Amino acid sequence: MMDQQLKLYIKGMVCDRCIAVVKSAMDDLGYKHTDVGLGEVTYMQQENKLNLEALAGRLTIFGFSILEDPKQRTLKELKNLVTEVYSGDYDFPEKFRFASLVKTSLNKEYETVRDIFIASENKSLEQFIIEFRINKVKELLLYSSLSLADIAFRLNFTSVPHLSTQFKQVTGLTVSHFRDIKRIKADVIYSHN
Amino acid sequence: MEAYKRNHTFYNFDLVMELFIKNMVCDRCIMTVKQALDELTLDYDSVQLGEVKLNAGITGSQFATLKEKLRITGFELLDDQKASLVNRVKSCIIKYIHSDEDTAMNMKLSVLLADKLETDYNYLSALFSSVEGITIEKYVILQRIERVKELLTYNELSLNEIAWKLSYSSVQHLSQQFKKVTGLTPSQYKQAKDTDRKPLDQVGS
Repeated sequence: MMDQQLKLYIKGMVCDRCIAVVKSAMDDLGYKHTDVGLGEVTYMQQENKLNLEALAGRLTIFGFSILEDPKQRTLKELKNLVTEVYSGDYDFPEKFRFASLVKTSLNKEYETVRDIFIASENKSLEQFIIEFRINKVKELLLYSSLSLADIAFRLNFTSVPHLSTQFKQVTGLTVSHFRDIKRIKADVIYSHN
Repeated sequence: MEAYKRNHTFYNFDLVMELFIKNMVCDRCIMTVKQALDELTLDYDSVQLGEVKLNAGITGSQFATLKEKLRITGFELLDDQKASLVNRVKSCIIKYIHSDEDTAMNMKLSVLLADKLETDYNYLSALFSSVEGITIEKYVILQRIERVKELLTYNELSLNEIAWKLSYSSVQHLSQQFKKVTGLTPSQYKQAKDTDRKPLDQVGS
């Protein structure tokens, strides 16, 4: 795509010398006459794509770094958090709520984070968590000798029936049926994960 | 050069081992100054914010050439003792506020300045006000708000964390001061398209 204006955000710029340094780094990569402000680079997409890695390498020498898109970063942090919480080893506090955990560990409002998630993933965060959790149930059923009660506890289901109901809802199978067929179907399910 | 010397009688160029440079605020500035020194093959011991320590004396003509070279890159080589002292105060403040070391903030600035520059704070304060037209305290506030702006644009820390990092007593205090200086609340600033950040050497002028 030509003629597209793109923006980069750069950390560590504080004065006119910084601007000159960043400008010459862009120059070296074939992007002449770029508009550089404090912390911001605006450039037109050219035929040869700007090599971000090369730019980052050059800027690091001078003590700068390229900032990740804030939304992408939030998304990554959020997914990491889900992975951590529903790993099967998480120590759930009493009255655990994911929303309040988001607030304390990501320092952002749950509503904001949820909206970012929906906008870029095209499904709700709640749906994502449910799917992640059920996949974890499958994994534990297949690869561990934990009882269903143990699994329910480790993944913070309120009860075994709660787990079973949700499992049925998402997979269409009952837990016991899944267990019965697990050996035969193991390969198939594995490839679905 | 003779006329120059007459006007600046306190400067005996052969004995000059320390140069004071205005407008240096970051590592890139240090790099630029080092480059200029190298081009003139001046042997230096160290280059810090606002300060160059030479290994040998400098001649009058070298001084003039260096001054011109630095002027092009936006610096000013100072040849006046009072201006040099004010400049050192500024460098000290910039280091204090813009360095990433959390420990630096624990010390009271007036103590730090008096200590670092080995000069009585009352004298520094009066001199700074008369030369710059704003007080040291006001200058510090402006620099600190500039730092807040920088951190806000990075979107990495919450306002709470920024307040803590910059030793504000509370978020409210930060917000109030921010609004007073910029006319915007921090969240309004974050949403504003034009970030309007100032180069650090132009803060307060």
